[in-house]
Amino acid sequence: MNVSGNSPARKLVYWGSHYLMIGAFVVFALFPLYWLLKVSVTPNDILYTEGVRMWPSRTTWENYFFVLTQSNFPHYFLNSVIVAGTTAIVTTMVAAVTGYSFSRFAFRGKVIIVALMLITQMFPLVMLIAPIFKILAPLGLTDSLTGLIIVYTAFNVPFATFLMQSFFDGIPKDLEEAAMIDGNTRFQAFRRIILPLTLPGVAATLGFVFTAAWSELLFALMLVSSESASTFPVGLLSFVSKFSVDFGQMMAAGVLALIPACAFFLLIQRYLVQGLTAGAVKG
Amino acid sequence: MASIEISNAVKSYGAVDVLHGIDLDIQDGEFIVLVGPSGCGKSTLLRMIAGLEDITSGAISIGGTVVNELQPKDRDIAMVFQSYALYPHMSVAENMSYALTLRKTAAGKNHRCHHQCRRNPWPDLPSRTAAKGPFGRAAPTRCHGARHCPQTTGLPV
Repeated sequence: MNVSGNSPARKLVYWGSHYLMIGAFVVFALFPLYWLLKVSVTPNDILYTEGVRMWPSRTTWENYFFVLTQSNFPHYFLNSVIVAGTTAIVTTMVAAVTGYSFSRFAFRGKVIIVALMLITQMFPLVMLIAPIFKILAPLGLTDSLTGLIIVYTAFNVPFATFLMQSFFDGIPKDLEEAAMIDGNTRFQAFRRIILPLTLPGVAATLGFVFTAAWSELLFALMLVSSESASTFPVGLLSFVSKFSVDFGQMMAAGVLALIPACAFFLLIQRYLVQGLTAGAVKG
Repeated sequence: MASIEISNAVKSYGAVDVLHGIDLDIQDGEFIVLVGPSGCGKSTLLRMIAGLEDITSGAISIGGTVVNELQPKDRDIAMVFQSYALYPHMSVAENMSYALTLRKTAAGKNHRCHHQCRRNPWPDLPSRTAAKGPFGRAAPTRCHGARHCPQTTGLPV
């Protein structure tokens, strides 16, 4: 944005309001997380008696200890890591090859496939739970992590494919043609030239699918009934009993559940930076 | 180097005929320029020779071998793209030696083709940060990786 040539006062107002708005958004977005943290370290006996305070007068780690040692939460957590991680990797691999073919090839039935993929995204998930349960039950895939992974992958592939396709569309065709002339097959060109350049897209897709699968509740609740195959969003519900809600423990579990998502994004964030292909072709 | 024979090469996209039977003999070492208004099929012909476009009918042979069904990598050909098409995640030297590396020649193993790099003062720059100058030089030098074959070039005038 070009504000040069203006007086320092105007610059100050411009950048001041700029940062004020960003700051307001950040506060708005992060406050619930702060509250999560605050409640999770508040001892149970003063949770309701102190009124609304920004920070409790006493803090405690006992909620965390309870969640980690006395509850099933570590188990739920592991289930979620397996389900979300596998879903993210499988979905991204499928979406990468599908998106590449959509981006580069013209083939018979392409329009129909794209239309079908769009149609799958049009229905509310609630509508599909009964039929999916009917399909999975005879296969023995209800109440299992494998079933969840299959369902999540199926529902995430269409969107992930369109996402990957748009990233492949952004990479000049010339690059893989040059690679093919240089001595690669098309698949080698895809793997050695196109895929490294699409890493931001791969990272974005991985992150998107991972968080979607990580926080999914509806299917996890409906398709899984046993403790041993529950994921953590279902596990969080177990802190709500008929007569009370154990907020301290629930929030502690919530904070712990944030860790893998944060770690995952920390891991992929450097690939999320765009602009890797700048300068590939003369512009 | 090698000769190219194109006999009655036709290219059509669906019902649309683009090239209506091209006959062309290019001798070994000959320097040929295709001139024509934009959209007349110059690049299409180049891409057919390189193997990037299918040949609808007719035959193209390079050095006496019909290459219609050969993959681009098996035609032993080089091509300079109008857009340069340098790999942005590789340095200038890696770009130039990429074809050699794939062909597993000694120069490619050294990851540097000294003879060619002499023309390029910035071999270690990542190609995406290199300025226009090295770009323009890296693209043609890269293509000398092919051993003895025709080189097709689509450069704007």
